[in-house]
Amino acid sequence: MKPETLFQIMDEISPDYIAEAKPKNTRTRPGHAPARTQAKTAAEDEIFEVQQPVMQKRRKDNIMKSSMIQRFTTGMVAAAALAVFVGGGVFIAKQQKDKSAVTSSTPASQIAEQRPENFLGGTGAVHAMQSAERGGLAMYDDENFYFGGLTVPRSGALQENVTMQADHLSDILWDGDRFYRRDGGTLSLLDTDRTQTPFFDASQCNLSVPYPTDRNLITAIYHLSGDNYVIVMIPQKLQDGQVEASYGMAAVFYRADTGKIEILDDTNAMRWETLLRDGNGGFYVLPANDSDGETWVYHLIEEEKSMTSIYSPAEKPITPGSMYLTPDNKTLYYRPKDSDELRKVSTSELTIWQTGSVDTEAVLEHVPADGCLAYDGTLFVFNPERTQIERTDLEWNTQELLWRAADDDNMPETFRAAFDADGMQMLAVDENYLFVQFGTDAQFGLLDRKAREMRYITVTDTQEQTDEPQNAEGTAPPTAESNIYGGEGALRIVKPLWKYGGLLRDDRYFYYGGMKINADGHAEYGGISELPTVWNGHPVITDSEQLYTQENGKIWSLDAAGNETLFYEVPGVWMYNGDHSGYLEEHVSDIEVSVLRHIYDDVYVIAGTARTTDTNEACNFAYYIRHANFEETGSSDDCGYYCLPEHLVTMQDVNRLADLIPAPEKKGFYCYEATKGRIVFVPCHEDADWKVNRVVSPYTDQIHADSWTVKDGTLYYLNSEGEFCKHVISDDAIVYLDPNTGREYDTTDAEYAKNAEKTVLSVPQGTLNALYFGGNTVYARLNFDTVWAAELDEPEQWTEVFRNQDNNSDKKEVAAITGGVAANDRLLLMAVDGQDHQVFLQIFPDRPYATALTT
Amino acid sequence: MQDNDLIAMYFARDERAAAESDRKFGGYCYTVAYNILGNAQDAEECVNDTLVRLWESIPPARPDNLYAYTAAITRNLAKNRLKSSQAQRRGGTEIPAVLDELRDCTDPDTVEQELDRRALGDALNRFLGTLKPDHRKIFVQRYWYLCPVDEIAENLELTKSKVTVTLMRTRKKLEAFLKKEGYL
Repeated sequence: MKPETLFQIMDEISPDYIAEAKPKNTRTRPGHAPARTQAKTAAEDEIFEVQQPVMQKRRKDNIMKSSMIQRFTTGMVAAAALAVFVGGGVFIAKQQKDKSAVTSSTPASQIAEQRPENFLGGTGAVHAMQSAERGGLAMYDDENFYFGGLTVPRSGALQENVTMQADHLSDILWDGDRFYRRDGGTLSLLDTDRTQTPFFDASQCNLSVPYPTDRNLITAIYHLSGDNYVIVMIPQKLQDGQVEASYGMAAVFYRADTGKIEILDDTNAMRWETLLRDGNGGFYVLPANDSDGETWVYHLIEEEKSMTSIYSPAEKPITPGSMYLTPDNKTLYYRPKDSDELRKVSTSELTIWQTGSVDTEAVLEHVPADGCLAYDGTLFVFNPERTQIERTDLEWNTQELLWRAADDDNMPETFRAAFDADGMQMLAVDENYLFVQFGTDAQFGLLDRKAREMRYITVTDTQEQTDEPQNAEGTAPPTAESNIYGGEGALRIVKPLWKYGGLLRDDRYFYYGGMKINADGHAEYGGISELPTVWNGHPVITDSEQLYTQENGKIWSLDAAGNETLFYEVPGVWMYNGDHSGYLEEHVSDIEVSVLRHIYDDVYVIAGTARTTDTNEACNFAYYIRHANFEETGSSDDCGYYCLPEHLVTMQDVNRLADLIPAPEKKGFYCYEATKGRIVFVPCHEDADWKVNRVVSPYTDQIHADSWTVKDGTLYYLNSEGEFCKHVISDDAIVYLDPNTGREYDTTDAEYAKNAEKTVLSVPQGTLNALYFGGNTVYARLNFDTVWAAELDEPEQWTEVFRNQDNNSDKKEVAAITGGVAANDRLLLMAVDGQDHQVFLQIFPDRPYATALTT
Repeated sequence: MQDNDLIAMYFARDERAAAESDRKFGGYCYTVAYNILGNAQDAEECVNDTLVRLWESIPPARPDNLYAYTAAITRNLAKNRLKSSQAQRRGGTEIPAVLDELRDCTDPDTVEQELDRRALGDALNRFLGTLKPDHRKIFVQRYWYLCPVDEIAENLELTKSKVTVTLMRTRKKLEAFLKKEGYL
């Protein structure tokens, strides 16, 4: 049957199952699908509700150093995204429901409502958060939270790993009330449904720049009142489309109803990027040159433009980015330069304020230098250690604890460890969220103000930023998923070998023996010698399919992005009495799980070591578990576990269990019994007698520990005589063993099995040193310097694929081969060269002599 | 509104039935169509066609499960549209990925034999009946709804790796089942 046939048969799935699996979430339908929309314009559909904005600034000299922020806001493009943060307020765009949907005569054209996709690629109204100076434009809609290149679902796990995309939002500007799309020197109003309306062209501004310029790059827009705006721009000279030179910062006053433009400043005199609106058509802005540090100006824009300059007290110059207004706009708070005092002054005094003439009063509390963010008359502040967040009124009369690291059990250790002197920054806030950055530029937190719950966001990969921003309307492009080893794609276990930690691969590399090997078959020099064996402080283990971490009996599944999900908790250790009756010892500690193998369905083998808490006695354990429903119940009580035969629980064989070969169809596994050199089958199911297991290898052969496999019911192996043998495993040809005594049960089957025949397969001339099995291919290493390959279907049709000294790609001599493992399509050999350097050989069965050498 | 009430509206030729169907099922139908077509406009048109098809088929049809009936119409329409349109070239459809996954439990190199579609469908439903409900939901969301893995994970509040692993194991089980039933 072909996949297409099976796919067609899916049509026959029962309606009950279809209904049962009805997705909880549906995709968002576009708002303007031609066949379904009514004749309404976007403008008619939009209602804008503007809340009273509260604006503030914040000095964040050190956050400007943050490389993450710099990546969000690279170069001149960044300035645009930054400049709009100072304005405050909340933007809400509501889609008006089409009340006349049922009046059409054609049923299919009757539309009840639209489910528009907004310009961020999500759904619903877009909300911009009140951002700190240079904090970045933080937004969210019904689905997601957006910040620079981050897109995080609003509902989800408390700890998330996300991939950083290129900042596709850098051309979106916010004037405090509405969104715009910037295209160099032009602005277009941007509606939620992506509709763009041309708004402003900066080429019309005749700035007095003493150099020839090619464009005025718009970096910010502030809505003052009515049709009055302040628009900030940077005159630039371009060369081949790239910015060759920029000439300061300029600002114009723009009246949108008349198109009138007046230049406010084209001499780079003011800090236009951190303008603070007062909500009454005026604004505050500080001088760019703070060498005197004493003056600041207040421009009041009224119906007919007028401006008044006022001056701060000389003895208390204001720190840029530290001005906050009360919602009623009657009091302005600020932090004097080189001080952590929060001071205030009545705005009614501002018009008469003269240098040194107003004595402001100091607020009692001191504010951490840059650990403060204001929203709607409320201050959000860190404690001095930056380990907790409080909310207080501007007068500091009431404080409320919002979050404390010490109380948050969900906080990952990596975040906890990130606290240091500058370890936490506030980036944005609104009525629902407070967005913070932790100690590294890859760690963020989104505090749900109502639930007082912090969601931890780890950036696991940052896509390289491009100079040219992407289309602001586009959603973030997908990127190759980077995994914890720095490769691409999910990590897959090719072979879970205990000796070398197994053979893993992803879309780009093999990982083996501590090395990262380019999977395209070409040599990659300087491979990584130290792959992580610990993740988040937990040792990494593998089963036959994926990665896990473990610590003291707890096992977490580990995905490619580094997320850990609790998988199983060892409830206790099965101890052996002298009479082999055994009992469950729950008083154990230092449980180390060294083996986890998936056998079939929800059944796993688990093995390791532990110590009893009473006697401090070391013990080994090995049993198989039924993992069913663990995630649902969160308890291990539902997990049955069964001991494996005692003779497999020696220290050596606990490790050897990692090399077992699952037999899902038989609900058991094959493994190597080291003391006898034979292969046994261990059943793992509810009806199995764990004290009885079966020998499936010919009774007379001693089998090489590392050179055997079972495929399609046939055992292939290298025996102690140096013979390559195969033996068809028959359910009749088995020997039942009592694991307590090692004695065969006296059955006629046992006699039959003792006489079971093997077939000796021919190999090329020479001494057979080792066999490696990978998929359907067997590799034979002979005389320590040649490797031959054959298919298990035709095991005597050998092809030479490697010969030492003259066939590897770099003509290097391989002095000794120290180990090897076969994957489906290649053989990887660990070796040392003539200079005793470790080298890896990649040998391909279908490309004789195409060996690649990796050092 | 209950399904029976909605069906009654169709039987009464009440034109509000279409609007109500769109309100009730439109989002799901759009999801099904989009996962197949990978294109918003085509998917939206497919939802429109579904509403027309519902109007034309009820009566005489009186489906027991109106949701599944509606979604199945959308799925068929979307698959037909995929064959005849340019949608396949535009990409975004989940079908190539799904077909690739289904190679795990089929034999792509086999010479196709005449199969009793109904019998095979019955066998598939028997197989689904042996699965745990959560695993069955994952399977049906992937191979009937053609939902991407990350959406399934979100729908069922699971990790992506859990969904991926469950799908892989279920495909293995299906392969064994189909072998046992003589289809492979």
